Amino acid sequence: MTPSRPDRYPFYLSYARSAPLGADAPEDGDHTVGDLFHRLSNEVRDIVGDDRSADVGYFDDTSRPSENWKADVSEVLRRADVFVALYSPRYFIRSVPLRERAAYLHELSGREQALRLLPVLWVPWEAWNHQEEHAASLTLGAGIKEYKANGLRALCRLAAYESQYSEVLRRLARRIVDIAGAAGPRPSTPVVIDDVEVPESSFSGMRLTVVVLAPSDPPSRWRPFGNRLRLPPAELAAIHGERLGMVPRVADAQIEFGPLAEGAVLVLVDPRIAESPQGRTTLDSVAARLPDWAVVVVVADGEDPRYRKRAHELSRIVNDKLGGTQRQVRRILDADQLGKRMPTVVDDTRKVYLSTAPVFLPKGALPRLPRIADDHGPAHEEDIDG
Amino acid sequence: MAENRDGTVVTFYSYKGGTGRTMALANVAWILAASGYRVLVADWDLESPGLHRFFHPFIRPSDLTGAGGVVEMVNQYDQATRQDADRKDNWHADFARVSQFAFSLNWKHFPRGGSIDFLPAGQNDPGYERSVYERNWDEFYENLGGGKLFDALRADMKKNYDFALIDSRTGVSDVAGICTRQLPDVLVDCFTFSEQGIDGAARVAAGVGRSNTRAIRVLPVPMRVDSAEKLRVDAGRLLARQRFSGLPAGMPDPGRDRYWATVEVPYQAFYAFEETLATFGDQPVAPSTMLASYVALTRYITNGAVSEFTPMDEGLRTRTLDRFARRVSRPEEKVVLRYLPVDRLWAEWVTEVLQAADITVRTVESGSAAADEIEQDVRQLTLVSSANSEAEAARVSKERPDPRPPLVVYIADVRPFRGHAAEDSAFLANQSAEVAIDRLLRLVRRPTAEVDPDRIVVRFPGNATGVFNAPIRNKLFTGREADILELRSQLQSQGSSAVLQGNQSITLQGMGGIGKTQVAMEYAHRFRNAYDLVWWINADEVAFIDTQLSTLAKRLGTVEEGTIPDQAEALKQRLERGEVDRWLLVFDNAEDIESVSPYLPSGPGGHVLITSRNPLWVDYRQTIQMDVFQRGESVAHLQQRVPLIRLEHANRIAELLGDLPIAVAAAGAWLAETGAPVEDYLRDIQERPDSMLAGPGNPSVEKTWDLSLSRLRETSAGSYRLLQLCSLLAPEISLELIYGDRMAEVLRPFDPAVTETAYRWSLVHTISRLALLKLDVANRRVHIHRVLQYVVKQRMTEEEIEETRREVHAVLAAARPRDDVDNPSTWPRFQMIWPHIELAEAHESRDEAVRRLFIDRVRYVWMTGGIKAARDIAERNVGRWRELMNHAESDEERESLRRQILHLQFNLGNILRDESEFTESRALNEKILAEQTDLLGANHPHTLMTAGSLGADLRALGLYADALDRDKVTYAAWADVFGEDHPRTLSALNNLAASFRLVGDFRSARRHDQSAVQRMSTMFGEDHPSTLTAGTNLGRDLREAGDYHGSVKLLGDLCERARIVHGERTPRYYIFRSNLAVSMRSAGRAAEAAEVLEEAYEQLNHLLGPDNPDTLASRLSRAVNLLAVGEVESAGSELDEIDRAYGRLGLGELHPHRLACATNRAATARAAQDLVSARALAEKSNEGFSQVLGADHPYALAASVNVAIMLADQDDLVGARAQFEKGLNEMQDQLGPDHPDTVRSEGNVLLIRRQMEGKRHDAELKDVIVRLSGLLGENHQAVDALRQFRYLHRTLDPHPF
Repeated sequence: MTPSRPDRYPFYLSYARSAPLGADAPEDGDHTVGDLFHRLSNEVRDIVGDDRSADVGYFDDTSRPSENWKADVSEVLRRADVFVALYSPRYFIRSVPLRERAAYLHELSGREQALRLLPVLWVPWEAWNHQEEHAASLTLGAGIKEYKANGLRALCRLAAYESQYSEVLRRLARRIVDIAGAAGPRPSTPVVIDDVEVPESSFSGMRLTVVVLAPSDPPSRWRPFGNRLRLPPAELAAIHGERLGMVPRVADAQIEFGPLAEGAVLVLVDPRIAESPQGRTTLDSVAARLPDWAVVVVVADGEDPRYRKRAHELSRIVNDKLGGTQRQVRRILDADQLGKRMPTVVDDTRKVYLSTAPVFLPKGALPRLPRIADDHGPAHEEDIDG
Repeated sequence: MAENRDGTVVTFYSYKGGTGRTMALANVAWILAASGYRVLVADWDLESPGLHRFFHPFIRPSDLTGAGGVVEMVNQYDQATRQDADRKDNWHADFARVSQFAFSLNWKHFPRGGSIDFLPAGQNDPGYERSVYERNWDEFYENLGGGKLFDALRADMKKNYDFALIDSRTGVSDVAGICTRQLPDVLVDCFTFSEQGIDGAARVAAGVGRSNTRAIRVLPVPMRVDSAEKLRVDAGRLLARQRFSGLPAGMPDPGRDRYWATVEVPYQAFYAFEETLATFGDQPVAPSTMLASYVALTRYITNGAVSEFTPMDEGLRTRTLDRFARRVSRPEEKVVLRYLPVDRLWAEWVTEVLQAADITVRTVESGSAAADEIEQDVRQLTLVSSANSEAEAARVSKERPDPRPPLVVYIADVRPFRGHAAEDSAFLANQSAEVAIDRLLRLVRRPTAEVDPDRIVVRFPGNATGVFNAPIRNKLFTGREADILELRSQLQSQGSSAVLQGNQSITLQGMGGIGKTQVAMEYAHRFRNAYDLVWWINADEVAFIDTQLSTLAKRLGTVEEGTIPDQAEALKQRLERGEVDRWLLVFDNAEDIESVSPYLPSGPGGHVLITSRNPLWVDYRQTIQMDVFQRGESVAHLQQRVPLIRLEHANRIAELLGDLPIAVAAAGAWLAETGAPVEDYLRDIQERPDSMLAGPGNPSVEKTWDLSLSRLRETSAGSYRLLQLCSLLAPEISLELIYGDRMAEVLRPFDPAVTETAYRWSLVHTISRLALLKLDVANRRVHIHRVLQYVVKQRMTEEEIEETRREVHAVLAAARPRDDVDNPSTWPRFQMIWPHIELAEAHESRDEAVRRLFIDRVRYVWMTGGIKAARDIAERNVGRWRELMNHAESDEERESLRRQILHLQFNLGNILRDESEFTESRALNEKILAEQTDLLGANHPHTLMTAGSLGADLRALGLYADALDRDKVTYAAWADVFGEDHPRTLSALNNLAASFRLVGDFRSARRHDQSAVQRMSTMFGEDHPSTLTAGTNLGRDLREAGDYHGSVKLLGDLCERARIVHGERTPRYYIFRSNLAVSMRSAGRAAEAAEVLEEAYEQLNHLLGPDNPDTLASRLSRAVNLLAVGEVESAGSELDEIDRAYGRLGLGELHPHRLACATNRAATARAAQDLVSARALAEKSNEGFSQVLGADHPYALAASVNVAIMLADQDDLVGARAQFEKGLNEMQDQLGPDHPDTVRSEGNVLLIRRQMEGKRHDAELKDVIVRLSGLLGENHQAVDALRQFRYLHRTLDPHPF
């Protein structure tokens, strides 16, 4: 964390990104946010007449990951006068922005919330989804149809929209300064991102349900490798799901068939559940509800002597109950492997679902694939490249 | 900004790569934007995007990596089609928005309204390649309505841009179809003046005109027109005008002439080296420049709206041009070319280009040992493809700061190494051959003009093969580099040398599952661009080969009249006439040689690759025999699939699967897929061997042989039965076993013809033809892979296996030689049986004759020195048979088992004795003897053998007299019941002689040994191990009788024979040598003996261990010899140590061996002037021998003489004299007057008399010296000692038990 922080930030820039997964994982940010941040900071400074070095805002730059980003963000949120939310389809499916928004709004009065939350249409989405936010984010660009059509991100990236971009920026900066002036510093209630309850994303995207079957622990906190992995497996799976554009949720064995059948399903199983008769009953009942496209992965610590002894037998029970001719139960018995294989597991889960899911096409006749050569020869791969 | 610009979509297309298409697009875009238009450029070469390079000074890296592009647009739409929502009819348009993915180039100097936006192909992340590769465009259009997405995208581009320029994929791929037919209003059809280029471009243009509902204006553009080649260029122009007749459409003829005269992009070397925009590189107003030609093209695209390129500020132009350029430095003479095996074709081509420029090239495969040796002063040049870019990037950056960093040649579209200098890099991907050559030579600082392009024979790998048809590449292919290399080398060498006609082909031959097809596939893909045509033919169904050839004929576009066979034949003739330059045909699974052969073309420039199980191809074609994976290849494959697998586990799996590639691959897939712990898998294999064939979902391994096995079963029931029998044996089986009569008997119900010996060969041959076994003619054996054995077993029921196993047992028992395993002539035959008995579970047999093989095995292993192993086998089977006895079905069976257990235990007794567990072996033998006497009678051979063994135990325990009594009885019984000449009788005779020797009756010992040697020589031959052993005992007897020279001669001869019979590295040979050395010392040749003993002791120590009695005996003789050669101190400490070792073995103080030690220690102590110890030791040994062996035993007499010497040394002359004289008398009685010991004793007596009485006995002494030198030789040290009036002490070398 930076040693000296200002007491007050006029604005906090919130945007869609996922939690950092460690040094090896590719970062998952949005470079354009950085461009916006610098231009916006300058605009704000111009208005308030500040010198060029002062921090007038904050954004969590994923290209320069912080060691302790949750604490950093929590700390800054507490001191930010205005919360600028860069809304996009991804914003509504990712837990990080939703969580920071909830944390910021936590314990603010309705009026304060309306005042301090400044929504921006960053990337447009189909308006029937999250209509309220959609409408709220449009006010900033009133009269600028390019803003409504393309979102602020595109205006920032495309030279042709430079004038519209400048106009929206100017308005945004002015609003920030106005609100900060009118509302004063944010009432200083402690805000810790992890402590806020975030309602399940209601964005209508492709679902990823991560079901955890473990003998103890609430599902989202189940940690088969203790603290050797920074994140519990369910959370890790959810983050990879977000990155693939799915709307994740974590559930336990109680989840009903209806929700279970919506979208891709990944079942993470602690094999120790098969030790008790009650656990085996749970497995049976989940098996009866599990859709064909669900992917099942046994996760356990292969180094744990308690498990090691019975690994074979317990895995086999899980396999017998949840596996089948169409479904091979996978096993991950190593913390390192869990981190490495999770992206593939989640991507496979998505693909299995895509291959079985019903398709809803736009109206109208479908064009045929135009071909240069009509004769495509035998069934093998063939190309006649030049 | 206009509400709807109604812009123009222009696709830039070229049928072949390397035309300069992308460069044309980039320049046209720049000219348009410089004229104030809003321009979009879209990189639609999804597999290898490269458009960004022309704009690199104006793009920030983060713009490209974070943007997403066409691929993401497609994926997002894909996902959205799975949502059931109440949305507007054309909801898909929201997903077809360029603005969500594009970014603007960073160039502030375009006039108002002018801009270039860049739509990338897609995000450059690891999943990217896969997502494009896996996209099935047919499915995307038909099932997901993808065509609507692109229609909407076209609309979006037209609405928001004045011009949208699309850089299309080359060739006739699906993506190229979308770019040329669905998206554009204008198609810029780029081509060079090669016939193929013109042809392909013209066909595409014609197709666009024919099939589209919307009119697409086609602008054919000749590219890379080199005015230096005027004649070719003129011919090309003429041909192009003809082929593109009527194009561009919609203009009068003079206008069209003007078009063709002005729209033509010249070739300029300057632009060949790096992606530079001509808008910066060329003077804006100069004629005949590339820029001028792009301006001309732009004029036609814009229908005349843009007809010039507005000059920019000259300073800005040159400053910007600098941002494109690189620096130059000194030329290279010699390079080391590093490459990955998968990039070998590129390496071949690069090598040829460099050699054509007279650069010396040494090639090394990265990762090989040679790759690590870096030659000083030689520049390294590394080929970088997607397979090694990460590793090489790390390596290259690690080697900094290197004054001459490696030259890097990018042969695939990979991210350039960060910080690597541009002048040390060359990008060859997606370039034409000419550009690639230019860039390569520029990299090594050589002028292009000096290079003769005719010297470059290898086809340019950057040109994709014209026609390619092979199964999709196996991305998990590993190993086999040696096979692929050999295949490539053989195919290449055939092309260049004068070879026999019809020899341009190679057959990959080997058993099922060994990976022939995989190697052929990998070859076809890896070297695809070495050929203009690659065609894969499934030859297992011969009837369909001609159809596949006629399909190829169709692809080549010249279908002859007539039937399919006619077409196939015509195609073959075309290939043979050389109408296609370079081609590769693969005939996969060509089993039927006669039927397939007529289809194999043999023309120039062509390669035919055949894969087959049929070994007979070797008579027709050059053949590469493929074997299972090397262990390292198996392990590497498993490590690739399961990166964290432990090496020992990978090794173990490979071993269990016999390194069979298909099985290793299945195991790897299963482990990777399930993530199951490797330990579980290994346990599974052992508990349920079927897991080695397939995990769930991998049934392919077993299926590998389905067809062959069924065919074998149908064609020859006898062969199939033979294979079943063999599947219960070890993988390597001697032909003798297979061709034997008992096997024939077993097979007769399945094929009566097997009674003919010659016919049996055909059964093996039938199996071999289906590659179900490997015939090793040189070693007269067959090899059947263990996984196949398992598969064959799988196809039998439990009952069938049981029955088959019984028959296998019968065959093995029948193969047993008639003679005993004691006779080495039986060993080759036994060795043929040994590998099978455990695997065939012969120990479980209810047939005594079968079980007997295990008793033979124990005895064989014991005799050949494997004492510990023999003990293991013996103890294990005693346990097994006791268990069997519990379940015996009859008394008879129980009795048979009891008999065999006792006999096995008798063998165990021998082993225990060899391990010096004398008390244990004695107890065991006494118990066995009692039971055998009871069960079999006293005179049964087994009983008598045990009795003999018990005698040996007694000898070992030093109970010589008891042993002699027992051996006399045993020998008499053998002789009585089995006759004097029975091998066992002779063996008993040998034992008897040993007992005589040990009790000191050397005469009887010699008599018996002589008799034994004579009889054995007659009965078994002179070189039989028993004859040799008897001979070496006789050698001892001769020595004890004083015939030292005779003993040396005999033992020397025997050692030579033992070396031949047993071999040099065997305990027996060195025991013989040790014995010889003792006789040599006795004969006065101590120095020679020293050398022999050094070696013998060292070897026995190594072979038998330090505490083995034979090792200790040799060590004792060596110590005594040390004393003889004057190394008193070493001798003393060695003897002390040996005595302790005997003590550790459990030999008591009074055991004759320890008493012998005391005798020798006394001599050593005396030599060291420690007279007190010497005397004590001498007396101790004398008393001990008298007590244990009797006072008249020669050892006791020798000890007594030594005591006398000690007395004399201590001046007790009277006592000494009495002792000497007493000893002499007894020796004369026991050994005879002429025995050297007797004569020495006489000498001692005369010396003490001389000491006491003066020189009056000197005449007698001289006489004794003459007699002794007559016996021992003039120079014997005993003779010398006597001449110097020194007493002659005696040392002892104890005999083996």
